[in-house]
Amino acid sequence: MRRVEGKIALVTGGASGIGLATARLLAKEGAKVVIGDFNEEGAKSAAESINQQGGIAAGIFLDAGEEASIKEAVEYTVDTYGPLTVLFNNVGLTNLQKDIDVVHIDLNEWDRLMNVNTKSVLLGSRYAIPYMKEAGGGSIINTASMAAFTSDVIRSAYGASKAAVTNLTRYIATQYGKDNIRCNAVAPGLILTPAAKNNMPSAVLEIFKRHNALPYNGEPEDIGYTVLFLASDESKYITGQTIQVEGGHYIGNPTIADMQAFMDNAN
Amino acid sequence: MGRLDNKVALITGAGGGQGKEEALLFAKEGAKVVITDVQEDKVKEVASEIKANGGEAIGIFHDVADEDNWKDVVKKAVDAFGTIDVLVNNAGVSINVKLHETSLEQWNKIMDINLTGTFLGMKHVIPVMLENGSGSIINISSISGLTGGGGANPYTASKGAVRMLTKAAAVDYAKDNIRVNSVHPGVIITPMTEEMFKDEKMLSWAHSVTPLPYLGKPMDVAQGVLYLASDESRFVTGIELPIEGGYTAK
Repeated sequence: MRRVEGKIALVTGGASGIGLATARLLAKEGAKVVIGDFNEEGAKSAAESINQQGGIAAGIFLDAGEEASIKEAVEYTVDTYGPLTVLFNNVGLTNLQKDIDVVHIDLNEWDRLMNVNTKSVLLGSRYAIPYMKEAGGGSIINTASMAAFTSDVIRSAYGASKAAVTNLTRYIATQYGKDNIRCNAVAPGLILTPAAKNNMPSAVLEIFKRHNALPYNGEPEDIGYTVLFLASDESKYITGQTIQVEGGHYIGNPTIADMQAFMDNAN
Repeated sequence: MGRLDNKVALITGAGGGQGKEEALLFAKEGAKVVITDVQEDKVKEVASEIKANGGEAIGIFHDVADEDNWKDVVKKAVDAFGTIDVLVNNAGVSINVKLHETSLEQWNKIMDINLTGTFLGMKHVIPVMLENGSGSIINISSISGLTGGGGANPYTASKGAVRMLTKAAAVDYAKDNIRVNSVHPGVIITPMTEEMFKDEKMLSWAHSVTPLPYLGKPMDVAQGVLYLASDESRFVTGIELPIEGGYTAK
């Protein structure tokens, strides 16, 4: 018996990176998976590659900024495979140019990130929950971020939108727990997704690695395995939690890496 | 293929309840398990059960508050299976008494087993993991390590200390590829708590504080511990994993 055998999952933002790694793992462990993505072609080819490897998947266009599109993706999942029992609200946006400090942030960008990063979680859950009730229960997993717990000189909207996701996760857990619907979040640290590798110079990736407690950066599968655990019945007594998958980046004193280098130089 | 193939796991307090469930699950997932308890006959029974199912296990007498006993257990584990990849500090005791009515003796006993036992476990197993080049340590704390209340003062204090000892060790040994995380069970129906929840009032309290419509079982904790023990969580260290049906989420 595979770990999510018979479950029906919708993975938003599933054409690449964390969403894709998770969709593959869910399918490998027996779930029927719909991959929703703004990159429709990417969603369809990801589904095709899963099908070629013996899994069951379908791809669909999804604009997480549009209520109608989210509703359509949920209904497509139900029409294709049956009432969904797993929803991975994974779509998220960041913008290093416009989402900056509080005085200078582009207000349209603030609205856009709140809409796509936070409201999409509300909407995905809103449309999935009635089907989960029909199915006798379900598991919702949201992608938060370590930016929900820390602060930075830029990305004010991103951090606020992800902090809202962690608390919305608790609200959903509390409101629908008695319907046997669980809701948890995953808070990734730096994960070496294709997007991160393309947009960040290797020197920046090295900075992250130096400040991780563990001696490496994360891979999309590290989030995928955590989501798989939360999607499966193995975690049936876990709800309302945000699981941090971040290499111990934020657990210690922030000066540790620099202090260590200072002491190494002094010796 | 098992999720813990080729790993050796040491689990304390494995004569019954969560520890036993972890031992059975770990063995099913391919680990060789060293299971310890003050109830020697019980861990030997669990070990026999695992061996009867084709797994590898040894059961050893273990008072986790005794440092010499720890040295002996670690030596026996390494002699039997070569190394230790996973340590689950699961042994623990509780007492329900108000702070001003707690004797110093009661306080010390709880601290010795819950906190000192966890410290000694890490102290004596980490050198084996350093030699091995990696490891995963899971310390069983409690929702009492996250929130106050409930009358079990020394227990709550000990579990809070286990939570922070976990984080300190996670920072210290991460670069050595040793991960250290804590697990925080909520209301779990175990052989130890079963009797308590036969009381209608206790049972209705438990349901009222738990958003999910059911209470936890030892297997629910064991599955979380398995996730942290396996390489699937290789980017996770220093975290708290509450397994409590949403108790602390409200």
